[in-house]
Amino acid sequence: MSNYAYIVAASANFAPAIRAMFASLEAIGNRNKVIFLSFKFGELPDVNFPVERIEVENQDCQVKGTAIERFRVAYEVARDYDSICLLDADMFFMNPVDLFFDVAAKGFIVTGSNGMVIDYNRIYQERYDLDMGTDHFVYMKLHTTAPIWINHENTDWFKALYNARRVDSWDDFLYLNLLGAHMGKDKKMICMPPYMFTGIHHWQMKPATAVFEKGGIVMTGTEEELYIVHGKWWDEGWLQDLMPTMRGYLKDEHIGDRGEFRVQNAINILKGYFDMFSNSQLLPGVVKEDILDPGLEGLYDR
Amino acid sequence: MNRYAAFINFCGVHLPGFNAFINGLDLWENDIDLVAIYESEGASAIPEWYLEELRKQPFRFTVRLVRYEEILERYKDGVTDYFVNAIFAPYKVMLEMADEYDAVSYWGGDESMLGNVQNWYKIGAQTDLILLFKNPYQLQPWYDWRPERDPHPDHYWDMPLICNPRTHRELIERIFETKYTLGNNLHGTNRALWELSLMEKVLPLPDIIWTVALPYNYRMAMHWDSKNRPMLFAANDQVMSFHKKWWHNPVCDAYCHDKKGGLHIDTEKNVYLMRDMYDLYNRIGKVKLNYHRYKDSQGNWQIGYEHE
Repeated sequence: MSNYAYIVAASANFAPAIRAMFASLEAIGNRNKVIFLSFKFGELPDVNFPVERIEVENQDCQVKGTAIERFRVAYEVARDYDSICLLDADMFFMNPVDLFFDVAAKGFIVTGSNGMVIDYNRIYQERYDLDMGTDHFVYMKLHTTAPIWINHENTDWFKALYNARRVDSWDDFLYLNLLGAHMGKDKKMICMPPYMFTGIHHWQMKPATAVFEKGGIVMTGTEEELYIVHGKWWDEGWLQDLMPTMRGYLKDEHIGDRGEFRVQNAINILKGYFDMFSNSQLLPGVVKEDILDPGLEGLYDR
Repeated sequence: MNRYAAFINFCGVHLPGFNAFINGLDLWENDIDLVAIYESEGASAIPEWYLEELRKQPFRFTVRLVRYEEILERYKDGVTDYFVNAIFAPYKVMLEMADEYDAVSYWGGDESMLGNVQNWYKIGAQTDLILLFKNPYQLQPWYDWRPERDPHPDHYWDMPLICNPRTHRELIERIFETKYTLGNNLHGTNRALWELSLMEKVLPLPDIIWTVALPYNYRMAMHWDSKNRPMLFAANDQVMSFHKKWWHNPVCDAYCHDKKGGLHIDTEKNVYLMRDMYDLYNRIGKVKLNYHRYKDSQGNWQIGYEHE
């Protein structure tokens, strides 16, 4: 039997997110262990899958105690598992992801695209002290910090990152990416589209790739599986900022009312699932009717 | 010889598509052999001058040319439908060569290759996973053979079927057998996966980078990499391949006409960008295929080749 583990770190202010993550893992039938790094975190939800709790005590700030320490734990425990998956605390699951553990167990790395392409020119390379052998290293596999599925053959990458302790921000995904490419990790990597794992840059709500529901199934705008949702759905400020930001995007792209409907619809669906999981009400199936704003129904199948 | 192989069947109609594919495979440094099953007889035969071009070019991979008519001769099975015979032939060749490759795949003649896809073949070789495009029309009513009648998200295209041919010999055989029952390899692939309980072993290839049949309703953009290779981006991710005979004007025109309005504001631009990509990959690779589009005396668009 395969031996897989998730690694996630959280502080107390992420409690609603952890409730949603754990409940969503239950909902997809997860049996893999969750290695939970607690930075002054309270009580964890009761769940049916194994949880190993590690208290982070030697760090003085939240970012170091969570976002950074998970890399140390990842490379320290990786040998105990066939593969591991590094997560952010504010992620929850919509579909099983064991296939990606299977892939990582064979020495591949699975990441989620950041939705950008960056030219790591000499300025970047000098900043990070990593010579890529060219003045313009255009990186096509630019990925987010999480999720990353990986096994022990490749966690020397995380060890190097953790021990570098040299970047401006410890949670610097630009350094993580360039370091990975410098170590040749990109050669073993597949990078999945941003709307499947993270929705970064609002890809899960931009009209063309926006999450929607059809026939009782929630999927991406390209009618593919939606695996992970990422965001601070419990945070009113974050939530209230989504639609104004998207209206700016819609205006810039000359997208009309149907586009606005798709954005609003996606936000409603994702928020609905977050609330459902965070409140541990694990009975999907009536989400559309429950969470769609009145008045939007007529637009649904246009 | 490499450890991976792409099986592709094509006829004269597909020439600009196949040629763009082989040039792309080479330009993007894929160490993947190409098993090209070609028609050598009739109106749709691949011209000899083109086969000669293929034979003399120093590709980084082996090109194995297989005459379609030879396969038909070997497997005389009473099926006379031209299309059915053509689409099922590669599975037989795949089975014949199963011991020579760690990963095989099935491509059509109207697909492009715009990136290095070798990692996906490595995954197919080293795991027991089967890599397939997701079928975006997955919510169509299910077939009679499947017990649940509700829409179900796991419905796949028949390509590229990247898998280890020894691990999945039975799957390939089972797909081939549906030639005699369903006569359709799309349905046959899904049915074989279902009957062999392999649905959960399918790694769906992301539509946006393996754009097999999606509506192309997001904005595509073209860039060049540091080696001057043209790339296509969709939602800021590099597109690895796309499908359809976009080199042929009527295909582009019909698609744009059908998809006008609504969210499809970028469709027209995307479609002609893909046509341009076919044109580019026919002109920059090892085999340069110079063709032009013209209207015949009936006013229908045709493709003309300089060799003719």
